[in-house]
Amino acid sequence: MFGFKKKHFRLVMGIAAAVMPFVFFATPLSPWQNSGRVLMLTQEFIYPLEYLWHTVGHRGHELLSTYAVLVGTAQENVQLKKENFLLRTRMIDYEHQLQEANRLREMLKFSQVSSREITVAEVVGSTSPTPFQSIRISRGSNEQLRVGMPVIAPQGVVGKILRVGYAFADVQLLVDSNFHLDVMVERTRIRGVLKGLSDSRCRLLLHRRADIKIGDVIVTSGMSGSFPKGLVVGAVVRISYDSDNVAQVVTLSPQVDYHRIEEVVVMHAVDPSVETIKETVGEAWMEDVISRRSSPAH
Amino acid sequence: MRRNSSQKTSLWSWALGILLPSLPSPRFGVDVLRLLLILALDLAIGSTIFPHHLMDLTTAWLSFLFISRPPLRALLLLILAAVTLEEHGALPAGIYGCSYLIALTVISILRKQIAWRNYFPWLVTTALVQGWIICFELFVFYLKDSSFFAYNISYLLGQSLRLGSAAVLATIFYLSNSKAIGEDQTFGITS
Repeated sequence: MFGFKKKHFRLVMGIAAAVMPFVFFATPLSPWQNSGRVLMLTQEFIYPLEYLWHTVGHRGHELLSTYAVLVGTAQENVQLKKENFLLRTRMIDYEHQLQEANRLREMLKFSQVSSREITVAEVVGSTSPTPFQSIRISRGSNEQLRVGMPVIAPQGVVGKILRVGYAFADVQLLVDSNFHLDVMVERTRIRGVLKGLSDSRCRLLLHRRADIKIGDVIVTSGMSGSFPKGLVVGAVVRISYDSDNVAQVVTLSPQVDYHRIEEVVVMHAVDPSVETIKETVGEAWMEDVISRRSSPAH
Repeated sequence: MRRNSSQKTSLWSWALGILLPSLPSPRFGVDVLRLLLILALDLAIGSTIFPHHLMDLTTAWLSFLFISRPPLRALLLLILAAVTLEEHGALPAGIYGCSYLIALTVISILRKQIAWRNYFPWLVTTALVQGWIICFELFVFYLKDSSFFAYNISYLLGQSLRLGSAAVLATIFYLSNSKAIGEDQTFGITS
């Protein structure tokens, strides 16, 4: 039996090597999703070193900027105090407006809840600028993060959670070529589906008669997925026509600079359509389906 | 003072002993642990120091293992490395599994025809494996986004440095094991 295995092992490996490219290129070239714990074991091993390296580097940089570069700090402090006072005054007004908006939402029975639970996470690593872009953040299943949750920054949308470990999560960026998002033009409310591109840009296909111009702001539509309505995605930087002259190819520049981002906010929001299915068929059945879909046999 | 320098030397040789692949083949568990350490260094530290993936420790390490370990062991180590690389980030599932498997198959078929006591085959094999991985990656990137090459000239240029770093690593790996390579041409592989 063992002799047979040794004799034919290379042949089996050769057949596997010949077949595997066909299988690989037949897939949509998407990343591993809902990885099981066994597959995540090596990442759990790597993460502590990654976090340690990031922390040491970050603290070193912080130390350098705090103690070695003190020129102009006093002036900056006075300026910041002024800004802080102004912002606190605005906050009081904002609180009033928020309360009013919540009361109105309650009265109109709006489905989207404004006060979502959020988690702030630190960015501990990022990938090279290829069409497949992601970052690693310092919060995971220990903070109840789940696959598909939206990740944002003060400037706008960052991406969504792709994979969750115990103390970390991988975020698929908006500019990843496998990322799709339902968006709309803020000015004209025209909807479309956005796709990530190389060079930190995104592409949006619109009807050729759609009213759009350079500088228009694109926001999330809230129509599909877990992203709430109105989050800033980016601004239009280029408009061209496709070869058939049927659609306008709109190129966007995202508001978030993915190379400099240090902290992100994860919104504990889930896809409403998935929630509706869960309510209809039951959570246990749904989880069973997801686990069967994510198992290697499928 | 002398004691200090000897302590430093022993620490350095200990670190090198862990990071460099060794011959004759150690136990499977040792190979697994070393590979995990290399992957951790490559993904956690290497990617921040060399942001355009200019340094690829893993491929040079794996090509050494493909040459010097039995095919089944090399296959298991390949699967471990591929899964770890693919699970780190948003790269397509199977990109490294597929490309490394083809490299391993070709090496295991040609292994008996090559005189491994010389330095040149190690250098060429490692460089070819690295070149193959770069080409495969770029082809997948192009399939997914045809405008990738237009915007990422610096990334493309960086890949030649990656190839150069693989050649340097192959030299280091060969020199650190030159004695063992000269003694046994088959590396204890009978099949």
